[in-house]
Amino acid sequence: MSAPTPVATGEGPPPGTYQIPSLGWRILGGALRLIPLVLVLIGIPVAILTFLQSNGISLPLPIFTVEAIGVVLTILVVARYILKPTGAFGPLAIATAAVTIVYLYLILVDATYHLTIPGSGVTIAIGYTDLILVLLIVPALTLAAGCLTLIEDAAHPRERWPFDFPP
Amino acid sequence: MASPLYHKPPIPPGIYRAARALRRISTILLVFVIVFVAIVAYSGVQIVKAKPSVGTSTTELEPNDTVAVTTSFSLTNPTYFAIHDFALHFLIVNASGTPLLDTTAGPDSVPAGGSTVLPIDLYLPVTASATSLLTENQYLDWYVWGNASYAYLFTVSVGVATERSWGAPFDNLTADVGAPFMANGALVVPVTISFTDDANFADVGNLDFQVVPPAGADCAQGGFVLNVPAGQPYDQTQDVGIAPGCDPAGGHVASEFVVNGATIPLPPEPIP
Repeated sequence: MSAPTPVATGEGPPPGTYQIPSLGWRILGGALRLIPLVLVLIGIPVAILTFLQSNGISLPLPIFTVEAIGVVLTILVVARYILKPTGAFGPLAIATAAVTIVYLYLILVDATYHLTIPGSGVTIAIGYTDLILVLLIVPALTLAAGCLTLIEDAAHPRERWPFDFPP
Repeated sequence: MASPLYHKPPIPPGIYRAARALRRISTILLVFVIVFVAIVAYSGVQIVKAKPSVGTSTTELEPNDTVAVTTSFSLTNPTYFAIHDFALHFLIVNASGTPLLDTTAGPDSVPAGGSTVLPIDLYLPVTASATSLLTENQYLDWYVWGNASYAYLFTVSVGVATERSWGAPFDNLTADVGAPFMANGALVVPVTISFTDDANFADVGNLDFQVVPPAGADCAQGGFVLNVPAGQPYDQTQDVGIAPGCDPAGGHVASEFVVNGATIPLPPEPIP
């Protein structure tokens, strides 16, 4: 008895050239990614801002803004991972990059951190406009990559599966 | 000839490779920036640990009617990044809010692994609205800003606002004109000059004075040779000939300090 021959149906790579994890595994992988994402995007920034605020030091961004954008970014990154085999991957990558750009723009608007040491008459100001401008290149590149993926998925659905999910 | 057991993996489409390359570049850039910022933060701490310092200062009266405060600022940069556009800005305001000095030292650059000594010359005017610096101890508001750009991506500004006491070189200057009397057949008037040199430099020079009546020509004039050490009081009387018929009452004593070839007018002292 011979092995069943994969039959190509419509567009897309032939079966056997890719191995997509099941939805359950992808949800588990996304949940595991939540831990570092929440830590880096929400936990650490909010902890630093709270510490500064408790010491009477002015904040470069409101804590609520950091929390809100951190939550949105975390959701987008996890959703992008879970939905990677679908056509939603490109739009989610674009959305993630766009939110990151907005986040960095909010930081860029007042990219000078003022620190006044109470009672000493000493004021320290650190300007990091150029740093934020360099950092903006990162989401700009991922935005472009998301656009390319969107175009690829629209023109050739599932074409990237063998390369994103090799067997 | 290729092995029949080895199948060369398919080459991804160009658009896929382009998207993948963009993602990889962005990841590499992000890692690079994070590492760079960490190194810059560490380097900034090293600059602070190198202890920037202010040199010894000297203060003296200058021929251009100013008090010159001369010092220097040393900055060592033991890091891998240069410090650019390093400058110190000074604004000194007296108690009534009048700006006495607004000047900048620099800008200068400190190369990576190098150091610099920035000379600071502050010329405080002692004429016009600032004559009180000569005769009144007071507090002055100093605002000092240090600005620099570091590691190409950061600008740093450190400002210090302090209130510093100013010791006047002729603090509480008074000129008393006594009653005229005859001496050796001439009419003379005793003129007493007193003050305290509260500056941190000695008053070495001549103090010339004129007894000026409310109207008309000067009644008398004279001078003292000063060599008053810093922190010491001065109180001397000199009998000077007075013009016949001249009544100084209601007038004033005009005085000036002559030092280093310059003449610095002192505030007039009224005669009751």
